[in-house]
Amino acid sequence: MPNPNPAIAIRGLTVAYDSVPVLWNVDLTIEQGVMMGVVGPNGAGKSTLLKAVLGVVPKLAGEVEVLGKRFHSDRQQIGYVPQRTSVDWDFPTTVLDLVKMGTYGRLGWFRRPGAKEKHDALAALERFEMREFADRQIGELSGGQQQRAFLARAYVQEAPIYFLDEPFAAVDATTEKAIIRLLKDLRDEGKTIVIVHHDLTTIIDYFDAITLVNKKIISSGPVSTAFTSDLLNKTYGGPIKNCGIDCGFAQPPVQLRHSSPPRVTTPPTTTAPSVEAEDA
Amino acid sequence: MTLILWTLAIAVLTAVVCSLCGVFLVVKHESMIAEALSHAVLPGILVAFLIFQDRTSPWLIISAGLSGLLMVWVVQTIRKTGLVDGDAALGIAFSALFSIGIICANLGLKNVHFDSHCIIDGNLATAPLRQLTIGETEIAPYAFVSMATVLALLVGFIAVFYKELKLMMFDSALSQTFGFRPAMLHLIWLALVSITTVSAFEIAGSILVVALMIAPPATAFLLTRRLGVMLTISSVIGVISSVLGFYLGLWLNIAPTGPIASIAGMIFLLTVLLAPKQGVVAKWRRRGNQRSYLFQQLLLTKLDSADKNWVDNETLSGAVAWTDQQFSKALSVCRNQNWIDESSLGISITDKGRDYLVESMEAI
Repeated sequence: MPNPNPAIAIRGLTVAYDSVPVLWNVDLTIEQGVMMGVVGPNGAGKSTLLKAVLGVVPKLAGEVEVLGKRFHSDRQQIGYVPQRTSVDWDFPTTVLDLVKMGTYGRLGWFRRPGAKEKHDALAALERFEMREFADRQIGELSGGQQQRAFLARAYVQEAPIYFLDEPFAAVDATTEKAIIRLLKDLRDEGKTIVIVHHDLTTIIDYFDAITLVNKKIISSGPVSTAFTSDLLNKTYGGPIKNCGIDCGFAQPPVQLRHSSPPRVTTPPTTTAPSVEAEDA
Repeated sequence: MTLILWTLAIAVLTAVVCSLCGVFLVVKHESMIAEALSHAVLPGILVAFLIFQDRTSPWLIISAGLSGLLMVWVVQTIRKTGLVDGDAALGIAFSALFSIGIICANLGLKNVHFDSHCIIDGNLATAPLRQLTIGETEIAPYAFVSMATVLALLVGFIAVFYKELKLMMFDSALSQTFGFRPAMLHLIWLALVSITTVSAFEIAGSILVVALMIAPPATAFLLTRRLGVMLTISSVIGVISSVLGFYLGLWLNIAPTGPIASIAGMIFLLTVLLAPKQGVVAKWRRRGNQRSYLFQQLLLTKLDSADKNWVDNETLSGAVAWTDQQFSKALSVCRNQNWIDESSLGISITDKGRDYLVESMEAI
């Protein structure tokens, strides 16, 4: 019987580093089977949000339910692809070894991965088109291959939920599209995918749902309702250019990418402070 | 067994213990922990000695391990303040503890033989003299028994917790989500490193401990990118260094610890130079090959753009900004491959040269 609970339910989550609050009283529900973007300025607590749900940063208050369960052991339901810069790419481990790590959770203490785990890991590599790189040391991969290797690890973990922290930070546009295709396939199989994302221009293309966060949750829900110019302005503290939607200028300063009849654009008449979205 | 063989056995055991332990320090970029621990254990040893008045008491090792952990705690506390970065915190913590040790030694142990010389050099040469006896029979030298115990402990721990250790070192977030208690495991691991350090420290002295903990693993790191293989290579290098160093010491008639450390360092140096993939020579050669390859292609491109005409030597060398040596080398390779024709009028590209050029341009 399918689990009727939301993939992630967060209530009153507060996280502080030392005395500085990073997330304040966050309520957030992520339904199963969506692909959600988590967006906000630097230091808004996006990564912290993922880590707090995973239980790797201590929370000051609040509770987190993963598929309706509150136990720490249920965090195994989340496959986590860390930020590229937080991985030690020099570590003496091959791609196959890395993917096998995804099986460690169900093996538990003491048991070593055996033939079955190797088989599973190779199958996962096959699926993410990484089979030929199985024996490479992880540092010898390109940015896109690194992301695929970690995705294969999450896949082997048999996690119904995937967390990806800025997966497109070091990959070119073609690779990014290829990874998005893989992720959309996973989503279509019923997985829930949560991605910390920076490029505002691709949000409408990529995601079903979005969460705008800046220490607090500004909005969360389907892209059509939660990703509006007002809410973006509120998140970034000023008008945003080039984000795929009309973002608060009297007239939009750039051609819109996603509206079908191109509108004639004129320069803005007011000199509003502009915050450039970071492009990946 | 003769005294010399016992000494050798102790040296080999110490080397293996240190090289195994060091692998994890090197891959976790914590090499300096070895240096820091080798100093920070001193107050622990001295305090236990003052209490129990017995140099062979196992409490010395336990207390030393605790003082190592104390240092780790101090380092973490200093780092948490965010005022000092990682290395500086380590430097502050271990030198503070070491100085406390020195003060203890000067105040409390004035009349006791606690040789500061032995802190630096170790006492490998005299280590086999102290025998562990049960009743009247001598079993084995005390140092041998203690190092063998540490080795068993270390190998046992690594064998049982290999998967958990590896995950904790590589990805502590995943380790935590899997419920493997990475913080706890790290602490236990560091306690084991402290025990290793202090046991080896007594025999090998602080410098050799650090040398053996870092040089063999660092060498192994240049030769493989697999943790399991790295552990094996590192131990083998540890054994080789200790045996060669030991006999070098005998031959020179000096304490063996210095030569062992030197051999370990030399093996590292040779590997840095000669390692098949990562080595300096291999990198030079690769770069050199790529460069000369580039020169040949450029030369052919210049000739190709002149169409079928002969180009004289001077025009050609003027068109490229290379030294005469680079130029004549590229020319001679092209000549040997029959990529160019030479006549009194100058040089021109052959059909074979043109084919090669087209092919190599596609590869770019």
